[in-house]
Amino acid sequence: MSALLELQRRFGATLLAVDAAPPPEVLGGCVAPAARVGIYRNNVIGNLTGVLRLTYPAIERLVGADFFAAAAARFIVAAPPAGADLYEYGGDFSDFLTEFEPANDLAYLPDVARLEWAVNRALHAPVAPTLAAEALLDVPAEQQADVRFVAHPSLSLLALTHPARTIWEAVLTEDADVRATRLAAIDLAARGEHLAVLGGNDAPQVLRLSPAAFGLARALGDGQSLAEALDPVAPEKAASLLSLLLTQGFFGEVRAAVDQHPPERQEG
Amino acid sequence: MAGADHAARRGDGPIPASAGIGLRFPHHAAFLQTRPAVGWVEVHSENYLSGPALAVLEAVRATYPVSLHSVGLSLGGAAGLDRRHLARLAELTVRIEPGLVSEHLAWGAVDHAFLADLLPLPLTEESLAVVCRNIAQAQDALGRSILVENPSTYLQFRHSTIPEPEFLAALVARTGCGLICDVNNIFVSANNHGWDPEAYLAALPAAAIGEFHLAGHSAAGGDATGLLLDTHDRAVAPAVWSLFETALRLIGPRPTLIEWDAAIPALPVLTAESAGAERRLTRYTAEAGDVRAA
Repeated sequence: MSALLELQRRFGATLLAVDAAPPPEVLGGCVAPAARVGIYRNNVIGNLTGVLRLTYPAIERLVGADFFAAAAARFIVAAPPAGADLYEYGGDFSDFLTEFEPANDLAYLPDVARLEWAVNRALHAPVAPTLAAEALLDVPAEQQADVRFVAHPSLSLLALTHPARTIWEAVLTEDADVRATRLAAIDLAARGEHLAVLGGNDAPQVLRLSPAAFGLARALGDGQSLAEALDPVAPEKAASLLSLLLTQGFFGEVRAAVDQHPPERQEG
Repeated sequence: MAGADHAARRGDGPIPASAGIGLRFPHHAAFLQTRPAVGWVEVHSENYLSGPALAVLEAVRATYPVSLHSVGLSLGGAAGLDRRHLARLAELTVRIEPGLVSEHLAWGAVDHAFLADLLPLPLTEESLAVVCRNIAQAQDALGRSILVENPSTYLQFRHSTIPEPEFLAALVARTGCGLICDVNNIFVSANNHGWDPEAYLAALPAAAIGEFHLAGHSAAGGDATGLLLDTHDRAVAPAVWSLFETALRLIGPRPTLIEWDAAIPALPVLTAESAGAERRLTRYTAEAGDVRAA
């Protein structure tokens, strides 16, 4: 193995381990090697905490800056980013918060984090057209049962057990007095919500769905055929639910049954 | 520099040898509303790969020359570049058509962990070969030459054998890349390692320098007292302005960027800093003209 790669592995491990001894190759001088390496460690944790802070502003407001920084530091050393596209970093923060003992009293926190991650995903989703409601009209009637959709790349479906959207909206209210009033009015024991987050890069929408609409969106998003996905839906509601999902832009493409069989290869 | 004209023309062509600012998220709205009289802007490429920021950058690019400055390519990574990230940077480069593209002499990724900082390299023949290979790969993927910036560093490695300006000169000679001369980084590193900043400037290959960077720094405390930190959280220090004037005499005028990344002030404070750089660039150019006339 190259000496440089080996050094970078040790140096990286030192940065992600609090109080680890600096690599012996580091020179001291008027400032000890550990203090010099400590500057880089602070930068790594500080920069990545900043990334998480941008994605999770509601979590930071809910727990306070110091608590957030402590949680972020623990998360970062346990799960550093895989690459330099940092808007992809932090999707596991909600799972981390579930396990993070100091946050055990705040049972709603992971659900709020899931919502914030879905908003981040929608903000950074590739720009893609949404499937128009009329698209189904292009599919021959006898093939409609076999139609499958591709979820819009911005779409996240969240089945949450806590009133996360209410908390999220309240805590991100800019006016501090209004915020306090809205937060005080929240019933933390309220039922959870089925949410869809989707939309353009400018302003992702957060929609509340009925359990039936959520189930249909999830089944279709998972690639079930229209017939399979509509099977558990009451027949009199099927058309309106499907139309709701289509007009809200849940899907990016339709894959008619014929598309599942690639066309005969053209020779020549 | 005629700021009022910016609204009327698209910012095509090379980055001018005038003062620009590092555009950051908190200034997006104010920048597009007030269209300040700066010669050009530079952004951190990684922050504009997708999302609403990319739309802002395209709007800015319609009337200002733009420079793309990466912080995540890890040119010093011994395991090579992240091809997916490089492909995204290439896509952004095609889309924005920047006047300049640049990165740092640093590493930041190892074993699929990205550490989000500009980490120091031992300056050895092995590192030189690694960085040259990575620069060549980046230049191939981007279809153009890049500028490589001298880093600010807080430590040195026992086994380093090549002085930093010589290392940078070797990158230029072997890959055809250019350099960013970050004057504040020279000042910070010179303090931290006991180097002579003017000797450093004099050892750089002047013709390869395509850009100057300027920023504020701060003094470390606690067990790191004595070191300077490249914090980009305040105005350019008087001693760094003075070193910039030396750089202008030794190297000549180049596009000059003011960076401010933390404790970010109102946009007019930043443009006042860039006006300070512009005054020095203008004065240098006028003096150089006098010398030639005589």
